[in-house]
Amino acid sequence: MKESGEVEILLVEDNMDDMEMTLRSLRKANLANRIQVVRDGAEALEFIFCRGAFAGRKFENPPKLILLDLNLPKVGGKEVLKLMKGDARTKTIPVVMLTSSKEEKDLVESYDLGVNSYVVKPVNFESFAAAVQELGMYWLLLNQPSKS
Amino acid sequence: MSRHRHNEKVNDALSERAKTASIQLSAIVESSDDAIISKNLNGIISSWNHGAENVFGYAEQEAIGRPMQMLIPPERADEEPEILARISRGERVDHFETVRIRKDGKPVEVSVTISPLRDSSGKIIGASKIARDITERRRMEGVLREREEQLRLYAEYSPAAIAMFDRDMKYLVVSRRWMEVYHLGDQSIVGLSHYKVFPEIPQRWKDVHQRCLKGAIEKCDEEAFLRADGITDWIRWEVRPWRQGDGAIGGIIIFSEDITERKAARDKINQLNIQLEQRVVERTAELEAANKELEAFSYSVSHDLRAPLRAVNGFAEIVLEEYSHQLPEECRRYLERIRNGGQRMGDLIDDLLAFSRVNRKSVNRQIVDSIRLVQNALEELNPQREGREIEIKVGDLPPCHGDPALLKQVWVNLLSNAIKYSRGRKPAVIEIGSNHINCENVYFVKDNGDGFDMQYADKLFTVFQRLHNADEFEGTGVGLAIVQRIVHRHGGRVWAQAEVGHGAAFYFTIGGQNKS
Repeated sequence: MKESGEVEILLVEDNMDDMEMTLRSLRKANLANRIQVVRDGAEALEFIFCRGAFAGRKFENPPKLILLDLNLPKVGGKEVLKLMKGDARTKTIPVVMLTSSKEEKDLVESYDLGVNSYVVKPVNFESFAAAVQELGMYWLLLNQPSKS
Repeated sequence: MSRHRHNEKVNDALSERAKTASIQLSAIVESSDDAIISKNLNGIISSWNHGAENVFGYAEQEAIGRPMQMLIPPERADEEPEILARISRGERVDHFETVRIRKDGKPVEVSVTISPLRDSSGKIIGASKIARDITERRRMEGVLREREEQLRLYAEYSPAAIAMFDRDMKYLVVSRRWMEVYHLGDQSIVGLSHYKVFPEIPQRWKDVHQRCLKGAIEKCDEEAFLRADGITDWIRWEVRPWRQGDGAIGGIIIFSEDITERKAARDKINQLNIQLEQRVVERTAELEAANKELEAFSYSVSHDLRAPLRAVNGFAEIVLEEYSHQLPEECRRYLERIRNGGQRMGDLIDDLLAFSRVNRKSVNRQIVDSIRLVQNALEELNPQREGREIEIKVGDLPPCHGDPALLKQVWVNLLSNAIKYSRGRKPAVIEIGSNHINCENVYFVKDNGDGFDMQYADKLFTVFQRLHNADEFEGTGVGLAIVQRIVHRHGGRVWAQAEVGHGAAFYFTIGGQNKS
């Protein structure tokens, strides 16, 4: 996927089960083709900041959405969020946090760090659509012409 | 002028002067408070002044010509011959203190001075006697002795170590406690120098004594004394001068008190306080650590326990969604049950976390508008009320003093129960309100639902305890436990009244200041 041009969604998820369910949900919305999946926070930062394995990427072509898991190996979700929201080149990219529960502490902290929306796992179509709608990206993302 | 005449004139002048002197003398004698008496060598009274009348009670005419013996008590009868013998030898008797008898028979203490009386040729012809009434002086001396004795006893038996010194630091008075404290035994130290009794006394102390002898007052509330046996005694002491009748410093008084035990007790208390504070700090840190651990545990349960559960639920769901048509009916039903089981476990985890959050969250008291709280709670329960015919009666709801977020949870849980357990009624009737009982607002939620058997009422508020099975009424048994925890954390009470088939009523108070 790295070579297939513009990535629309970056999915940061370490849990295989969750990843598969999320991808299925996105596939149902015809979005699966433009998805980049990374498995931990360190890899996510390489993608977001166009370095390491993703050195070929350009800041001018940011993803339209990042789906970021809260609990990640190496670098946690909140740390990734903090770094990208603190950088002028990346802070405008919308981020939806994927969490296991609506633990108040996580919610408050994530909103403080500038998260755009929140989706409680498992990511089914409805909750995903609601989050995207909240971001005003509904038509942009969901009304993709299906790839044939 | 002839010599004779001259002599005559001189004699006249002399006799005039003698006359004047005699008049002056008798005026002095007459005006004296002392008794002035003269007697001949036989002891017969020959003159008696006004003072004598006052002291002995006899008038002049009653006394003159009578024997001196009449004034002498029988037991002292031998005094008079002896006095007369001494007078005859030309001797004086000075300030002889004795007792005489008044006319009224009462004894009178007198100090007597007796001198021989001579005629112009120098021959002893009698005696003059000056007697002074010393009854008052004797009484004063008695009072003084009594005072002295009181002072001595007071100092001697005082529970403090007290010693009084003269200007040369010689002991005047010393308390028994002093003798004990300084291990002086039974010896008598009155009259001895302080520095002889304590030869090792340091110069510093001698300086203190000297300064106080000059008028200073010095003291110390807590001073360490290293004893010869190596043990430190703690002493409170005070040194001050004492003054004589004329205001001059007569010496010093040393007061000292052994406060070793008291100080040890006080030090112990201080030390215990410090230890206690330390322990509180440690315990608080331990508690905080335990709390953090618990939080981490809850967090971990919340996130990690859910991941595998998500897989169970999620994939069961996907199978049902994608392959339903390929599955036999029985298989679909089993999958449904897998999904429901997972769902229930998810609910249990959620409620358990909510319960633990109630314990962790601090109570932020403020004035709470109960009416708005109930409205918000009812709004939150809209989904549960959908499709139901429910009559909700809201009565008087005075504001209270509590944590709005926590109290809203109380209303939500109680109202949610009322809605749930009245779903068999058409219409369901839910009554919300409060009573003012014993200066306290008692809030209530009543329903006309299934109620419960009061014999299980004590189990109502226990976590995971349910009085209905899940087939009848869904639920995890955490709602009322949360209600009770919140109410208790506010210092309030919660209880229930119910009858099977005739509805239930839940009552609670908020404690603290109820604003009515």
